[in-house]
Amino acid sequence: MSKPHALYIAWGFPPSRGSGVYRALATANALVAAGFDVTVLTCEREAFIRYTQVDASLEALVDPSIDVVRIPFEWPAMDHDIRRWERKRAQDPLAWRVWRPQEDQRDFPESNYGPWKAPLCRAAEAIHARRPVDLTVATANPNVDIAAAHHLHETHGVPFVMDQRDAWLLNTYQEVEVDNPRAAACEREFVAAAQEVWFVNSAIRDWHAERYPEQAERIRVVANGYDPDLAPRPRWGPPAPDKPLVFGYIGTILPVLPLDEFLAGWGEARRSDPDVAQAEAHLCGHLGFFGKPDQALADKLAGHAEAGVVYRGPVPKAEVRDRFEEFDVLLFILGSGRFLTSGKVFEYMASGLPIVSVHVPEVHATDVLAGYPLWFPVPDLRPESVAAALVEAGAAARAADEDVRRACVEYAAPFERSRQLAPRLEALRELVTAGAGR
Amino acid sequence: MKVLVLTTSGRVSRHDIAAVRAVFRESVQVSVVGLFPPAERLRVRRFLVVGRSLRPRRALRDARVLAPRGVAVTPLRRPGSWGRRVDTVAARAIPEKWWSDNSLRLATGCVWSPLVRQEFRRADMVIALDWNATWAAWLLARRISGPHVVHTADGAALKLAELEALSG
Repeated sequence: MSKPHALYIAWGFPPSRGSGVYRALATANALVAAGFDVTVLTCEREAFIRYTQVDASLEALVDPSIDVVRIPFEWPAMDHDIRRWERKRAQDPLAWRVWRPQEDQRDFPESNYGPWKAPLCRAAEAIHARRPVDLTVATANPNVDIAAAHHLHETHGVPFVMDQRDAWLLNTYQEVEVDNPRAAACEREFVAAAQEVWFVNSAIRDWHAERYPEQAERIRVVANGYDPDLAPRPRWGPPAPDKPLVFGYIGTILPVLPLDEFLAGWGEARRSDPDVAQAEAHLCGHLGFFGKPDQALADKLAGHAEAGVVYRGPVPKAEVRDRFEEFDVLLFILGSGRFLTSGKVFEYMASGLPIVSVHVPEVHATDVLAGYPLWFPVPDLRPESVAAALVEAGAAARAADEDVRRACVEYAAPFERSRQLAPRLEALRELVTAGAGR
Repeated sequence: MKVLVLTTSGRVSRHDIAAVRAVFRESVQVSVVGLFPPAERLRVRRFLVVGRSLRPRRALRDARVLAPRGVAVTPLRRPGSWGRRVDTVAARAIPEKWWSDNSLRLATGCVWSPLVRQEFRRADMVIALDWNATWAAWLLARRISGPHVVHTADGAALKLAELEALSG
C-alpha cells in the first residue's frame, strides 16, 4: 500500500536562514517520519540569496526522500538592484513605496507576499494533479502559504493544517489586535475550514480559541522544541578553575531585545564580582532579520567591547552545537510580552548549562524554564537584578556537578521537537489513511 | 573593485565616502558623479559635478579631489559661453518645478554625458546613494550593461552578499 501524500507549504525553507526555518525543516522531516510521502512547496533559493541571506548548511538536513518544489518569488520592496526596478519606481521611488503595499494586497491582504498567492495556488494544483495530495500542512508566516492550502481544500477537498506558529491578527509584542478587516475575514475562513490550527504556545492558542469558540477544540498548541541533531551536547562538568567564564548568546539579535538592560547589568556584575570581571559575553547571530546587518545594534555592541562584550557574527545552524561548547553560561535575552515564545530556549536547556534569563518574568518562556535546575531568572530588568543573576549563574557554572547537569538535561528531554510534532502527525496520518478527512 | 557613486546630496563628505568604502572588504577605487561640489576635498579617484542646469550634453566640472597617486583623469573643458546662453533661454522656457527637481537635473546631466557613461562602463558597482539618484542610475543601466547598479550602501552590501552566496 502506498504512503499518503502530504504537501507541506512553507515560504521559509532551507536554505533560508530565517528564524522560522527550523520548524519548517523539522515539520517536513517529521511528516516523513510519520509515514507520509512529502512534497514541499517553497520559493526558489535565489530569493533567499537575494533578500535574506542563506544558511547553506541547512539544505543537507532535509530528508532526501522529500520532493522540494521551488517557485519564483519576487520581493520588490527588498530589492535594491536598480536593474530589476520598474520604470516608475526608479523615477519616483518614494511614491512607489506608498503605492506598492496597496498593490501587494490586491489578491491577498498581506504586504510583500500577497502577489505570491496566485503562483502558489497554481503550483499546489499542479502538485495535486501529478499525484493527489491527502493532507496539506501550511506554515505561516507568510499567511499566503495558508491561502494555498485553503485553495486546495476548496477546490479538491484536501484537508489542511494551519500551522500559524505565532499569530496573524495578534501583535505579540504590543499585545493588541491588528486592525485589518480583510485579513480578519481570511483568517476566519481559514480557521473554519482547517482540520487543525497550531500555535506555538498556550497564551496565543487561548487568545484564538476565545476568538473562534466554535473551532476551539481544533485549535492546538504544537510548541517549538530542540532538534537533537542540532542541539548542544550536554556539558557534564565545570570549566577549568583558571579559565575565565564565557557567557554566550546564540540567536537573532533584534532591536526589541533588552540589550541595554543586559549591558547595564553586565557592567554592574563585572564591577561586583571578580569572576565575572574576568569573563566575556559572546553574542552570536544575525543583527536584524534581513541581509544587511542593523548598524545601530552593531555600534551598540562594539561600544561595550572593553567590558568583554564580543559580537561574533552569525553561526551556521550546523555549527551551532560546536559554538555552545565554548560557553559556560547561557544568556537568554528575550523581548517582553506574554505571547512571546522562543525557539532557542529549548536548545539552551538541552545543553545542561546555567541559563540567565534577561527578560521580564511575564513571558511564555518563564513557564518552560520554571523547573530547570540551573535557571537564574530576574524579577525585573534593573541593572542590579540582572547583575545578581549573572553573578549567581557564574558561580553555578563553577560549582554545578554532573548530577545537577543531568537533572537539567532530563528536564529538557520532553521538549525535543519531534515529541511536540509526532502526536499530531500520527493522528493526522490515521485520519487521512482512514479517509476520514474533512 | 571600481565603484561609481551617483548622488544629489549638496554636501558629500568624507563620512559619506567612508560609509561606502565600509561596505567592501577589499580596497575600492571610488568615483563620484554629483549634482553639487563636495563639502570638502575627498579621497576619491574623481568627482564629476553635473551642475544645476537641465541642458542635456552640458559640460561637467571636475571638483578637486585628494586623488591617490598614479590615478590620472582627463581634464575637462570649461563650459562655453553658448552653453550659458542656452541655459538662460531654457530658464525662461522650462517650467519652474523642473528646475528644482534634483532627480531630473542629475539624470539630464548623466545620461547624455560621454564622460559619465565612460565612468559607468568602467565601474564594477554603481551606487545611487539617495532617492533622487535612482532615476539617473536606472536610465544609465538601461543603456549600458555591465556593472551592478544598486540603491544605497545597504543595497551594495546585499548585492555583495548575494554574489558571495552565488559563487559558493
